[in-house]
Amino acid sequence: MPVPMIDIPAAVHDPQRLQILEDYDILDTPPEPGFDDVVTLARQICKTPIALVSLVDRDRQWFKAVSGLDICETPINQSVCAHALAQRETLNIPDLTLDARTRDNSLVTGEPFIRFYAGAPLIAASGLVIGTICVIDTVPRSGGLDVGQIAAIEALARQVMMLLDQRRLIVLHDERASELREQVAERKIAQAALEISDDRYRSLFNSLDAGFCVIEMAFNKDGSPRDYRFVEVNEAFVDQTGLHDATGKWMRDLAPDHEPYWFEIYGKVALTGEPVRFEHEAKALDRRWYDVRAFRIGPRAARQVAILFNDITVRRNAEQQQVMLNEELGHRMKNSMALVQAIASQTLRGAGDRAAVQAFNQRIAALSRAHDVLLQQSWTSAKLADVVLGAISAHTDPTRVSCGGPEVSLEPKAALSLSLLLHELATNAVKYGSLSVPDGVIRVNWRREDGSLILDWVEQGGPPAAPPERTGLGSRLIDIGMVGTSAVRKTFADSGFSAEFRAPLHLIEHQIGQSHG
Amino acid sequence: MDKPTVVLVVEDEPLLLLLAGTLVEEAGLQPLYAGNADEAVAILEARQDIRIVFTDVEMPGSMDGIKLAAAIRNRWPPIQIVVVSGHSAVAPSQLPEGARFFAKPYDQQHIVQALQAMAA
Repeated sequence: MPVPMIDIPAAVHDPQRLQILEDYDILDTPPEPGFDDVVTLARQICKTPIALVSLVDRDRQWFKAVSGLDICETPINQSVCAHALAQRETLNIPDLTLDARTRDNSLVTGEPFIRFYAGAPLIAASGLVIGTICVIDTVPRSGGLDVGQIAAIEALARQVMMLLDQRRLIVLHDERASELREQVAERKIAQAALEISDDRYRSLFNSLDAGFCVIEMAFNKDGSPRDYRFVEVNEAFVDQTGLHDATGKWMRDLAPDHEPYWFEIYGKVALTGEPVRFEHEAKALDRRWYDVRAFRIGPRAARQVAILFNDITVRRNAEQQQVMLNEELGHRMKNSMALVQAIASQTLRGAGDRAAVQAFNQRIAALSRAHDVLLQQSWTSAKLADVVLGAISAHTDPTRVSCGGPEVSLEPKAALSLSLLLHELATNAVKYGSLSVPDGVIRVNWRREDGSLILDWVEQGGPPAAPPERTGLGSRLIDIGMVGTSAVRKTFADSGFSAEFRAPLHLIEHQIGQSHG
Repeated sequence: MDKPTVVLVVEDEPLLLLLAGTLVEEAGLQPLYAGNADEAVAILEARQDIRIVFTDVEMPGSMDGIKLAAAIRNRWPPIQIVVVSGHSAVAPSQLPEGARFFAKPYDQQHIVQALQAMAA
């Protein structure tokens, strides 16, 4: 037999109504004593075998409490309660088989063959109906419920609403409570985490060899730094600074002579948030030298700076001593060279070749000048420009020389051999080349190319150049070039002598951090 | 014949003392020798004919060459002074006016020329 079409009341699908029902969060929840009691009362008062609290959803009705029936929900087209949705009065149907709305209902035409229905609407605060509390009999009841029973069932309907509202409040409360509980738990976890990390922080803090402290800056009205106070210091702080019980104290009280530099730099860190690293002397702290890292900690308004530092006085003293030793060595070498010159002079006095003695002395002097240039960098390296100028200016007025090229740092050995080379070139220029006439000049230029240094020596304004007749030490030094294995190209032109010297950069350039033998 | 100009050479290293003396002779002048500033002052107090003092800077004793040069300018203003040193960083302001400075190892010809110019 085909299922007859039942008119579903429009109220069923009212979205507002459905929303309210949903907000009650009641559908598909387990039975609860409050609702069960209401249903028991309804049965008794109305003297029916069946009573239930029905909630009408869009496509079904669902029973929160049911007595006398073994089902908990039915499809919407079996719902009699649906018809109660549009009204606020109790729906009273004495004989379901006689009512056009219900006579084709499958619960009427088939099991359990219901005949009488009375349902009081469950009216939400907004006036919309979410379901019913209803009583059902399997025999028709003429006249339906009496007045007293209707009043009772409507009272019970209000009771159900109260239960639903109460329930909702409890749920909300529970949700809120569990939220709060969660928050508390979170805070506890965070607190615990803080405590753990605080412990770890502490143990790291105090196990550092380096001094560590957090300071708080104080500024004058004009924004300039005035002083700083120690918020906390680690155990190594005392050893590193000599300041005892610094926590809570102001630096100007602890060390009145502390230089302005320190306040300025920490003040800048506190204001800009930019970390710094530097080495500086603290005259007020026994003239110790410190390697310092400072960075802002916390929000800008807190003006706190964390400082990690190491006393490097010993290292600096060693470094300075090294510098002094190098310089002293350099000076002693120059004295030795003076002695060599003296020995040569005295020994060769009677030998007759004064020119040879002179050349010898002049080469020693050139070597000495090269040593001077190296001394400027404590014997680590020499700038190519300084070597060139140093070598040539002994022979002539600097206005007659122009030189230029990129900055190149030479290894000591390369600096010395280049100096001797330039000495020979300059000596020749004075004797036979452009420097032998008043207007002659020399141009020295260099460049880097493909891993090589290329140095050009060009004489101009002098007499035509000619290859030397004899190959003395001078020309041999020139031919050997800058490092002894490099390429030399000599040109003897009418305009004068010029030469190009090449040397691999990796053989002559100073590498920072390395010391060649 | 004029007696050659007397030059007092002050230097603690014997070989360099000798060398300086040789250069003085090469310049046509006559050397006197002192091994340190104290000896030099003793000689200067005893003689009237010293016209030039040639001194090293680094020497043992109560004075180095710079202090000696200042003392000479103070007590015997007419005496001309040549100062030499292994430390090239001697500033003109450290020396008396008119004193000449040469860094060791010095160019011997330059020294000879300077002495000749001073004696002239």
